[in-house]
Amino acid sequence: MKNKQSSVDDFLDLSSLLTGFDKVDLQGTGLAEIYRKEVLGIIGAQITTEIEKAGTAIYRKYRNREKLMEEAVRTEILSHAVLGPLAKNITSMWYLGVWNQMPQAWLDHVGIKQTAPSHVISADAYKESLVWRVVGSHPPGAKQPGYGTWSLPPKTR
Amino acid sequence: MKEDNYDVVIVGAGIAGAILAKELTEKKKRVLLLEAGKASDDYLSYLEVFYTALAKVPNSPYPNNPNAPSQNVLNLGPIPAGAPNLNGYMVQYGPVPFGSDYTRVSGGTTMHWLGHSFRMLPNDFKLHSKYGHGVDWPISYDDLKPFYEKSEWEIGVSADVEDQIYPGMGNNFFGKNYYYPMKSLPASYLDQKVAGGINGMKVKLGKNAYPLSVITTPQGRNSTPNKGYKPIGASWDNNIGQRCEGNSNCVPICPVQAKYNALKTLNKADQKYLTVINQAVASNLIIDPETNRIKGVTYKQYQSAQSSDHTSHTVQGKIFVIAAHAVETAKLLLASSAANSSDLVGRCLMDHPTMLTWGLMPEDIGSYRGPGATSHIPTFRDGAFRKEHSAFIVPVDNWGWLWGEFSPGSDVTRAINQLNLFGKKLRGYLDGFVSRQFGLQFEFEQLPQHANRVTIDPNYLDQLGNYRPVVHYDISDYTRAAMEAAKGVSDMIFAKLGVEDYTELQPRRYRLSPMERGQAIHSRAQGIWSALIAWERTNQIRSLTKTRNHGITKTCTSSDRAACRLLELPILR
Amino acid sequence: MINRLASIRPGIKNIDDLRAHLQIAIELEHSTIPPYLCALYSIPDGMNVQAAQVIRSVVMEEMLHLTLAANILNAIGGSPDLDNPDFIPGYPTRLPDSSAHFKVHLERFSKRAIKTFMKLERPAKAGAMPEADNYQTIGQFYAAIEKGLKEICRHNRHFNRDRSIQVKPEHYYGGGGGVIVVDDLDSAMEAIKVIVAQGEGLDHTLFDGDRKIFGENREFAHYYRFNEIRRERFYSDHDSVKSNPSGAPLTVDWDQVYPMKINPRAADYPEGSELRRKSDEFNVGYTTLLKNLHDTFNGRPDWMMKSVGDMYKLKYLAVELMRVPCNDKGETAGPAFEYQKAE
Ligand SMILES: Cc1cc2nc3c(=O)[nH]c(=O)nc-3n(C[C@H](O)[C@H](O)[C@H](O)COP(=O)(O)OP(=O)(O)OC[C@H]3O[C@@H](n4cnc5c(N)ncnc54)[C@H](O)[C@@H]3O)c2cc1C
Ligand code: SF4
Repeated sequence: MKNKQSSVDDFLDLSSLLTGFDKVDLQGTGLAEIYRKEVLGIIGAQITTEIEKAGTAIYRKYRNREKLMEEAVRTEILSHAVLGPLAKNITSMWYLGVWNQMPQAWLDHVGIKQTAPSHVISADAYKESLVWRVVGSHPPGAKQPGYGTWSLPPKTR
Repeated sequence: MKEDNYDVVIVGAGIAGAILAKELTEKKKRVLLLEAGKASDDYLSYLEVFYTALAKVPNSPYPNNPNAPSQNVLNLGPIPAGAPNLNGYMVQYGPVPFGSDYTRVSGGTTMHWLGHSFRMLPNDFKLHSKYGHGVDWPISYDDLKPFYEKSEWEIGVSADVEDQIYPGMGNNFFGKNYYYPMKSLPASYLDQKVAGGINGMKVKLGKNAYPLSVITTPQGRNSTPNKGYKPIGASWDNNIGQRCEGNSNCVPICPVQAKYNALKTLNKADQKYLTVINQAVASNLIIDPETNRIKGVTYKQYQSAQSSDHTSHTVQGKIFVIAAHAVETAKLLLASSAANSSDLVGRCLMDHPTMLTWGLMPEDIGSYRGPGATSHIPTFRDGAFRKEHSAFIVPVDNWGWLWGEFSPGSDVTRAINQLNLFGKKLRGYLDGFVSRQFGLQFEFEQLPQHANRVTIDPNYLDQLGNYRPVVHYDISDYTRAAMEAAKGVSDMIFAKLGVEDYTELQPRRYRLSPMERGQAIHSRAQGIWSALIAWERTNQIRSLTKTRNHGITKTCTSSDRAACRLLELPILR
Repeated sequence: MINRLASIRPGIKNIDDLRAHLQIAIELEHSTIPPYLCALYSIPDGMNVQAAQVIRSVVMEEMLHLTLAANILNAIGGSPDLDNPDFIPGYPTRLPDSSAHFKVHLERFSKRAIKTFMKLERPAKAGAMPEADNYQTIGQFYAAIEKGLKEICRHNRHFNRDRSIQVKPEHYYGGGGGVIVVDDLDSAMEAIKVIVAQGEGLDHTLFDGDRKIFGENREFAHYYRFNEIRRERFYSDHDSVKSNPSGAPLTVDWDQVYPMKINPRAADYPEGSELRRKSDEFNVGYTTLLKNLHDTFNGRPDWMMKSVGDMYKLKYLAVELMRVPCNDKGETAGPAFEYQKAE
């Protein structure tokens, strides 16, 4: 139990770095555990743990120091042949609720023969996709904002 | 109540069939309604399917049903010379792919229509005598007017008469005391910005200058009711959907049923006089050789969409109404060799080809909020330019680049994969880019062309052994010339508003977009936003009574259809 | 709230008393809404659909009642006051000005919550006296207001007939019937009748009178709708006010609920923490809603539209909070409904 808890937390650290959202907001989607399971199921425990560890280390060390944090993420995760493409996929999973099939070159590189095709992870994943929050709207067909709201000025910043 | 001799047998539970069923049962006529698709009790499950569909195209929420297939716009693609494209349900000979679809479930195509409810203009009925193109109708706008009113009250259209000012509308377009059942929906914030920027601006087409106006769009979705009307919300909970809740998803499915669909009308039919048989695909009309009238319909009933197992039945009736949608109606008539002495059945297939232009507004306009479009530019619906090229209407899009670029999914993918953005910078980039996305839609009139047609071919059958539609379709120079002109209009509007143009300008791309963009969809279906606006409004044959007289050919909207049908049926008058 | 009540003389003897009690009516209607919303939002999308539908219909009617009370108060020259720290009770709370000995909590959907809701909506015993203060049932309280209106506003005295400040059906929709514009004694009576009938039942029947008044489909009054959830059964045609429902089963899965902790507060989380930030965000949003409603009821009825948007936003925020673990008992955070102005 303890173990599982802490690794969801690592996954949240990593996800917070990648998405630019606070952990509490990611938790608020109710999807952290589901997404982590998805990654574990498709990619396997070894690489998943590796990327989580890298993420959580940077998160703890550089939290709130944007510049250093960005540099560390680029150096240790994004430009890493194995972790980079996976990190991008995790980011787009949070933003769109979709798991994209991993690129063939990556699969060859890590030696995975069969992999999940692109798919929407669940109805909730669609409803909570972060892109809509960023643009101040809502996913079409869910989380409706109410009659007439479209006539009001966009989000006040 | 199953009988073998009905007053009226209706094929198809779309808006046309539903309105007839309602009107007839109210007059105590015994009606049998045959519907090829599934019953209507699955609405909420459609929604679940929609949420998890990768490509959220118009038909994505509705069951994939090989026993009553419909076209899926994902199957569009280029047509090889000399051979048809067989990817989808339609057998497409082109040369331009017919880019529309329809829905074969109870409720029909209104399940995923957008709900815009325009009336045609007086000159649309006399195109030939006025502008030397197309044909004149045997009826006039005034003949249809009372039926427009009736349909608008049935659909529940929201609009304010005083806003509705169109070119060439004459001075008695709306009756003196007429009002729509509901008030206009509020114009979106971005509509207000556009109207503020271009109202009154003069645009030259040919020799004449036309002043632009931006007005609200009459639409079949709930807003504030006027006297005598009560909005109908969701069938499962009337506390939901009494007003449009801004779900921004009218196509493919309104989650709260604030948008009209034909099930609302069907529910109002007097159930005592109505028998509905679902999963019943009409396959043949039986003609009495003596009277040359239809005396029965054969239909194939299946239990499950997964299996082609079915049983065949025949029903009798006094009057038959084929309301199976333009394409399917033509198919059924052709399959039965019915009503075709004129050789007009299936001909003059029409769409409203659509051109999209898109760009970035200088500031946040709050894109992706509200119904598909709340305003439009009516300026080019009529005018002297119709001597040179066809008319067009210009909805101002509330959904940004959804249909042009499959945004914002494609923007996210590009930002992450190509721009290598993540974290706060990714957020900032998307925020700045997506909320400024702006688009116009140009929807063009098509003339009746005999060569544009639906036919049948025994080589192309569906799983139940019914004919698949074989389609020949092209876009004429008259319409293409309008596309050219419209691009000029778009350029001027963009310049006035300070819009940074992102429209792809590869030759021929924008002209026929999005129909010719079918290919692009395949490659981008990875983003979940791929949706395609492309719908059908053919209207060559409406019922047997009509066909016998003359093949009226004209682009028709749903309210036109509803109005036409009410006009046709003598039993109602 | 408590402070303000202390300054009010008991009973309804003159127009000022009447206005003061209509303000209490607004507070009373409001005070039940956060508890109902907590129960409603703690049910995840697509779970316990029937129960959620019942609670949603009740909340919508409470909002209608609030609006009706505000319309009456406006009609007799008062000004509803919602933008005020005292307007929100601190939960757990007793009903404003009542003698009820039970407290209402902000808590997740549960048997206990439903039992409390039934106490809230409990019908007055036949023949119970009107009580302006220290009332036992909401019905008694409104009976006192009704009596006060009839006496003090006899011959339509005090009615200002200013329709421009009334919330009208075009501003407000949903919730089993429409808004009533109040401009004389009759319309005020009509409005009170709707409030009492929907809550407790009309004339001591199961039904809420919507059909009589609005021509809607027949619906049960709140108390009985909650009893259906509690007993996990629908009423059948043979059932009466005295019996429990004996019709078809109503499926409730009491475990399909976000495990929201009871009576959450922003101060539960350390200053500067992410959870505190999010909890504050909700409170600020809620306070904005009250401000918008306040303005709506003070001359800007067309601003109701803004409030509708606020309510949806709050819903999504509340649900997010309910998904965030907040202690080691496996519970999650929740909306605190506290008065907090934006900085
Ligand atoms: C994406 C999209 C958006 C649109 N937006 C608009 C808009 O904004 N405004 C507008 O005016 N129009 C719009 N339209 C067009 C409009 O929706 C249609 O013209 C209209 O709904 C057609 O109604 P119908 O009753 O003729 O046919 P349908 O609604 O298609 O109904 C036909 C019914 O017949 C059934 N059927 C078919 N074959 C058989 C058979 N052999 N046996 C038994 N039953 C059969 C089908 O299952 C279906 O239920 C749109 C169309 C699309 C595709
Ligand atoms: S905007 Fe939303 S609520 Fe309104 S009609 Fe469209 S889908 Fe329905």
